[in-house]
Amino acid sequence: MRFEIKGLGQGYGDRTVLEDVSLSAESGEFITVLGPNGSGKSTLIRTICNVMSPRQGSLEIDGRAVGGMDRKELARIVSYVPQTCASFGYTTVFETVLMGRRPYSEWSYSEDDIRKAIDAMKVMSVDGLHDRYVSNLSGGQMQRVFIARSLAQDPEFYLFDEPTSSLDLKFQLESMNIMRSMVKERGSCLIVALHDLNLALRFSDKVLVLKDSHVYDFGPVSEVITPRMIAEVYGVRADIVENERGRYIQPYDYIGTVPCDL
Amino acid sequence: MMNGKIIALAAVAVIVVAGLGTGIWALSNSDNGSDAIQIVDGSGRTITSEEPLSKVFTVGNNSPTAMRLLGLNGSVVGASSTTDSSVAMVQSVLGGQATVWKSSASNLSTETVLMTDADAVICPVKSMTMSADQQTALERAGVLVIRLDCNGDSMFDDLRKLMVLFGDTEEVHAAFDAYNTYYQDVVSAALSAAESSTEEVTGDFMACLVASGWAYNEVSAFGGLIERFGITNVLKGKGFDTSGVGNSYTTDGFREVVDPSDVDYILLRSDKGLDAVYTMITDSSVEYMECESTSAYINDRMYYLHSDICSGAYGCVAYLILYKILFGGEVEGFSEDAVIDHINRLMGTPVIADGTVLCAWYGSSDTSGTVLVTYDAP
Amino acid sequence: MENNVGGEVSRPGAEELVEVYAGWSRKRLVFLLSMSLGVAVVSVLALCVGAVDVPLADTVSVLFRGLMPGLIAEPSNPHYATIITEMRAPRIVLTVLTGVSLGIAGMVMQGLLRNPLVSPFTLGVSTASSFGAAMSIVFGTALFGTAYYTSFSILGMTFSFSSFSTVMMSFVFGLCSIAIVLFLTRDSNVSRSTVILSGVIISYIFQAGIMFAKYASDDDQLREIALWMMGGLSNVTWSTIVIVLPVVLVCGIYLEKLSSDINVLSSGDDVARNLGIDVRKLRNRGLVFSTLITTVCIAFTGIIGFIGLMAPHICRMLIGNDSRYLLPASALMGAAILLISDTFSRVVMRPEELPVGIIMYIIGGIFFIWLVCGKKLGDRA
Repeated sequence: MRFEIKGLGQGYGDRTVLEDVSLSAESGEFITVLGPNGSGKSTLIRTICNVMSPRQGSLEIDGRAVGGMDRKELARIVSYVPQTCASFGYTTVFETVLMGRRPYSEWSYSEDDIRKAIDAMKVMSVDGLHDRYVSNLSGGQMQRVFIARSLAQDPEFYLFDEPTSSLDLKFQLESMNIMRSMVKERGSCLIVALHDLNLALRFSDKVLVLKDSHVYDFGPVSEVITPRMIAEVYGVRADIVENERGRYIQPYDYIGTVPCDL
Repeated sequence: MMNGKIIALAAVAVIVVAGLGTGIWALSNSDNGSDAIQIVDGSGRTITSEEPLSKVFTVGNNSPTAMRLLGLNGSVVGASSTTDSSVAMVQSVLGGQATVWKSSASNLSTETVLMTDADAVICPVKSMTMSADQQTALERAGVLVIRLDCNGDSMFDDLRKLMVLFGDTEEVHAAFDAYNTYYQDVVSAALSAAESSTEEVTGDFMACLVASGWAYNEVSAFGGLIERFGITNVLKGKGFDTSGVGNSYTTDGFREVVDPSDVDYILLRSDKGLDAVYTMITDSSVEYMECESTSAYINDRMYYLHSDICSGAYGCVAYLILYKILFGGEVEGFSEDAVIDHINRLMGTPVIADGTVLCAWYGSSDTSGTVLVTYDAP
Repeated sequence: MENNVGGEVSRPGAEELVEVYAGWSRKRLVFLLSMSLGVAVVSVLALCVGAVDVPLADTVSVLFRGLMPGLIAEPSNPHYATIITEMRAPRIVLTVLTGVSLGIAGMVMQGLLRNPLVSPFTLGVSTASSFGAAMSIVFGTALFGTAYYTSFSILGMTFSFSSFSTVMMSFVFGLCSIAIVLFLTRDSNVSRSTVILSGVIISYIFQAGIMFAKYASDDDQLREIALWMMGGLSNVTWSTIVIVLPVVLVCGIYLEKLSSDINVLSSGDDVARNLGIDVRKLRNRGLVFSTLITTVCIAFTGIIGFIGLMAPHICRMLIGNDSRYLLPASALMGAAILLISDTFSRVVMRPEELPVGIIMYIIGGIFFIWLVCGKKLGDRA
């Protein structure tokens, strides 16, 4: 499937947050959205999955306008995990993950739905927490639960807003690996907003960089993540170092109020 | 959204239309059998009964008294009253075979009334003694609800209606006649004594209920009673509340139309005793009366009268007392003690107890009150 | 390991988890069945009890006589039949229906507004209905003339116009409150706090109206308003049930249909939208129908507080947050609480009947003290 996003504009009240943002995403691609704080990453993710209707521009999946699609049909194609999620009262992990099957069920869940939810829990290693109340979990456990729900939703496109921000190092890497396998093995497409440039560098295929509500650059990761981009967008001077395990970013200077001592 | 909204609006519309439709279609519930007994009760409703009543439930203090005066207390199978003391009083007046429950206002369960086997409930006209819902519930269970105050202006009319409801037998008629004749004798004795007296009694009076300083205007029964003695109600024609007793006076409004020097007599009616009356005089909440500027206060013509003798079964005693305070002296042939004793005997119990203060006076010379008349039982 | 608060002790197999989920459903169904049985038993016992005590044997024989007249002996006192069939049975049915309605409405509102402290009255329904009732009581004669004091008959049953007008006006104004809320929140991006705030605004406006009515009233009317606002189930007739029952059934079934979507709403508006739920439609429909189910009952009973707050709360602690089970559970729990309170109110000051609202506030207060001091949110289902 192909997701065409053209000329997207979005804002809250009088404030414009996104202007003329375009990108395309295809099944089998891992796209990260990067940008400094307040550049509009979360808004972009919310607009792409049509949780918030775009003010300008168009969203099309295989030529069909997203706005015109039936909600449930769209829910089977696009899944969204926000940065923070609510959980009300005495809802268990199992029930939360099972909600991901809502687009496929009418009022109650079939055994097939239940098994898919169980698979999703196992993939994200939250099956041991199945009977725990979600509101009692740690931030990291909660994030894994919500990603599991997204997996249970079984969409073509996953839209995640900073899914690893609360996870410790091991779970960050584990989750990113799971995401990459979703792309390579299942052929899904992931559009993930990230803070961590190194994770983006290691795991993604393509990168979209936002700066001042506009697209700074969009393309393959090696072409987009460059020292020049890091300097112009983040105000940080860094080297991209390569060794036998791969590439990583090493910052050495920044323009700021506190003197740099790296 | 449209679907759900439409369903909801349609449901509301159906219910509203049905409701309005039934509301507009109002039928009266009259049922005229040829031999049926019919009266119009105190609330204006026509009450019809195929046969004379034999068992009733009374609510409040006045209807048991009325039943007793007619000799019909044996027909009362149950009663309710609001305070412990009134429950005891009703119990003695009815003679002990009825169960008297202590119940406030309209909280009495309709089940209890039903279990007494009563054919009818007699309750005062004011709606708080029995709500519209309770009334319909009782009527649905086959119990008539008859609203009769048995007090004040309507007492004798209500007694007559009760007579009719109970079949107007000779015994009941005789009991009524005996009481009615006695009452009217006392009243006419007092009024003719006033008429033939050499004392010149003129001026304006103000009559108040000692509870919240309410005043009686020209439409009230008590105001009318006093006027029969030749003095005029100071509120007459001043355009206040058209019900008999009202409290819609503002201090300024009152003072605009009533000049304290015009008030020659002040009559304070209470069942709460002398101290309560004294407090009322000094209490700022009744300042509109400006008691201390009135002629009544200055000339020592403020009087306290016990509520029980101002209306109801003992209402004729007020005439004796008014004669005494306005004209001075006793009414020939009737003393307060004798009259109260007579009626107490009819009641079968001293409803007005020995030693009750019936009248006292106040004024600039004596603000704590001097007792004028007490009931001394023989 | 920081991400494992509490630790993951076991990694159950897939089959085991399927069984776990089935087990939860079974447990919830068992809960519903036992609650239904409990409500039925308490209802029969409540029929025996009141200002007059009817022996259990007589109660049962009156009940069955209706079904099989020839076979059952007459009760020992002829008045028992009237008391049970004309006075208590409709009252108990209305008690159950009101408890059901308030329990359902409370659960739906809490789910839609994602707040466990919300009740059916949060959006101003109680103030608006009270305003309607107060207007009818104080200005009834001004509005309807002398017809206000008449009674009328339909199908052999008498009604008093004054009660009829109070019911109609409290119902109509109760619905007005939700109409105003929907109008104030018609923008599609409105947040939950805006919805709640509109409810607060409505409460204040109608409260002013109630105060004015109280000011313009005489003593009798003032007391009548006060008693109406305390809530009471006295003098209920079968005609009331004929009106209330279908509305409660229809609304209840519709809300149960919505409950699956309400479940998803618990994760947040954005996630719910993404899972295919039209959040605005769901919220509007849910609010309209829960207001309808509430208003149709309180038009007859007056304001009965706390049930809408307590019943879903208790059930949530016992059977979790799945609205498909929580809705009927709250309904049954609401019915049980109100039945017990009403029975208590009929007995504690015999032969008088206390307004049930008084008992509810006492129970509600005790419940919240216990909630605050006692049990904390458990860790697992």
